[in-house]
Amino acid sequence: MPDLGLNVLFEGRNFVRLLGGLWTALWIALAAMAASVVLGLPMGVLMTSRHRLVKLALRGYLEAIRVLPQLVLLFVFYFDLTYVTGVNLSPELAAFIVFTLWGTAEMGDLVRGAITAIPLHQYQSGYALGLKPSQVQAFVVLPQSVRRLLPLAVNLVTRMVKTTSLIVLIGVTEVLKVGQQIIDRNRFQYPDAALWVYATIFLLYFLACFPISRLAQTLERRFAV
Amino acid sequence: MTALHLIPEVAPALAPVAGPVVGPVVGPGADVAAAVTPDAGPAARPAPPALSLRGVRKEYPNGFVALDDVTFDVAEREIIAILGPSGCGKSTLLRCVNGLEPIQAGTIALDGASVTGPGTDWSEVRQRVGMVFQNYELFPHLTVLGNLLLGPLKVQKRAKAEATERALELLARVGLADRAGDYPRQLSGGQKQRVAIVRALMMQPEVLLLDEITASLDPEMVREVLDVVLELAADGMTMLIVTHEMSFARAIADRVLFLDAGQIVEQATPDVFFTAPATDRAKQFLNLFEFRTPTKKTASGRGVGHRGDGARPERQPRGPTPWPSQPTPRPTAHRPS
Ligand SMILES: Nc1ncnc2c1ncn2[C@@H]1O[C@H](COP(=O)(O)OP(=O)(O)OP(=O)(O)O)[C@@H](O)[C@H]1O
Ligand SMILES: [Mg+2]
Repeated sequence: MPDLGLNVLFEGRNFVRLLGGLWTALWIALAAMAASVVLGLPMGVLMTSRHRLVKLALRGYLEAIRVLPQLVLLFVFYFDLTYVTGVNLSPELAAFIVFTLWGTAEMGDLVRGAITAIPLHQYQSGYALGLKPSQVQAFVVLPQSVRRLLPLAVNLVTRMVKTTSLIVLIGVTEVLKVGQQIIDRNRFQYPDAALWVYATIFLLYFLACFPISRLAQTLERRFAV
Repeated sequence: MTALHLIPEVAPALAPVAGPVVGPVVGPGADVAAAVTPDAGPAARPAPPALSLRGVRKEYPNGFVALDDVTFDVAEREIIAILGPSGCGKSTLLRCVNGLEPIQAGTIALDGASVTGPGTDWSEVRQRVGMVFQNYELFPHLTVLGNLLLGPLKVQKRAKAEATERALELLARVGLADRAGDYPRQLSGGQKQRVAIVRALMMQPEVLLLDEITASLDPEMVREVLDVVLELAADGMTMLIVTHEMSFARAIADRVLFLDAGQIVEQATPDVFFTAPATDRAKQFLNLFEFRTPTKKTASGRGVGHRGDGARPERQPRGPTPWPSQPTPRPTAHRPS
C-alpha cells in the first residue's frame, strides 16, 4: 500500500544523503570559485595590458571557454583526458578543474571590465595630488574596481552552483545523483517519489542560491556610485 | 576680507599685479610681492618666477601639435587667466605644467628650478602645483573627508589628527563644515567643486591650476565656486585659471593670456585685453561673448547663441562693473563639448 511520496524523504538517511549531495555540489562550486578568483584577478589585470599578444591570447582563451558548453568541457576532461594521457582523474577533480577554467575566464573578464570602467580622469586626479602610480592603483582604482566587481563575482557563484547539476553526468554523486538513487530504490514503495525528491532538490538549490543572489543585490546597492 | 590662511603673512587684497604685455614677467609682480611680505629676503635679490615656461611644445602621439613655443612667466601671487577658443590647448597647457602630459621641447621651471629633466620627481612637483578639474573628479568611494585626507596622509605622510583638523577648517571656510562625512554623490555640483578645491589646497600648493572649474555647473552654482576662488586670490594664491566666465576673468586676473591654435597670441592686462584687444583673433574671440541688442525677429528677445531655456538668468549688460552679481552665461552654441 503506497504511502504519501513525501515520506520517502524521511525513510532511513535519505534527507541527510540529499544534503550530503548538495554539499558535494556546493563544495566543488565554492572551491572552483576560490581558485577562479585567485587566477582571474591576474588574468583580468593582464587583459588590460598593452601587450597585444598577451591580450590576444587571453581573449582567445576566454572566447574558447565561452563557446564550449560546460558539459563538453566536463566530458573532455573526464573521458578524453584519461583516454589520451592515461591519467585517471576522479570525477570530482575533473569537475573542479573544468569549473576553475571556466570561472577564471569569466572572472578575468569581470576584472578587466571593472578596471577599464574606471575613467581616465580618476587616475589623473590621483596623480594630480602627487600619488604615485602604485598608490593610484591601491587607493583609487582597486577599491572602485572591487566595488564594481563584488556583486558580479557573487552572481558568478550562483551560476556555478547551478551548473554543478551537470556534473552528475560524469558520475559525481551530487544532489541530483543522490535523488535519482533514492527514486530508483523506492520505485515500488513510493511511485511518486520523483515528484517529492525533485521538489526537495529544487528547494535546496533555492535555499543555497537565493541568499547569495540577495547578497549580490545588497552589495550592488551598497556600492552604487 | 577673510583669509583662508594659506599664506599667513599675506596682506589682504593686493593691488593688481600686472606684468608687461609681452615677454618675461619677473619685475613688477615680484617687487610688489616682496614689498608686502614682511619676512621676504633681502629686497635686492630678485625672486625667480613662481612658474616659468620657455618654448614649450606639446605634440600628441597622433602628431597633433597642441602647444607650440609657449613662453611665459608667472610671478608669485600673480593670477593669470588663460582664454581662447575651444581646442586651442588651454587644458593641455595646464596638464603639461603638472606633468600629466609630457612635453616634447622647452622647459618648465618652478621657483627657478627646472622640472623638465629626466629625473623629475613628479609626485613632488604635483604637491607644489595643485589642479582642479572641470568635472570635480572626486573619488566616489571615499567620503568628503576621505577625499581630503588621501593626499596629505599617503603622499605627505602627515599626522591624521593635524590633517583632519586642517580639512575641517578649510571645509568650514567654503561653507561645507557639515558635509565631511558625506559621499560625493550626495553633494551638488557646486559643493563637489568646492570640495575639489579644498582637496587641492590640502596639499598646500604654491601654484593652483583651475581648468574650467565652473563649466559643468548649473548657472546658480557658479557664483559659490567663484567666490572661493576670489578668496584664494585675496590670500595671494598664485593661480592659472582657464575659464569661459569672462567677467570673472576680468575681475580676478592680473594678466590675460590669449591662446589660439596652441600659441600665445596675446598677453595683456584684463582691462586692455577686454577693451582694446590687439589682435584680430582676440577680437573675434571676444565677439563670441557679446550679445547683440534684441531685435524684433528673435521671438524670445535673446541674442544668438543663447539656449533660451528660460531657466537661465537674463544676461547682465557688459558695463563698467567687473563682477556682476549674475555670471555671464556662456555662449553654449559655440562650445560643442
Ligand atoms: N590625447 C590627445 N591626443 C590627440 N589630440 C589631443 C589629445 N588631447 C587633446 N587633443 C587635441 O589638442 C587640442 C587642444 O586640446 P585641449 O583639451 O587642450 O583644448 P582646450 O583649449 O582645453 O579646449 P576646451 O576649451 O574645449 O576645453 C585639441 O584640438 C584636441 O583635439
Ligand atoms: Mg579644456
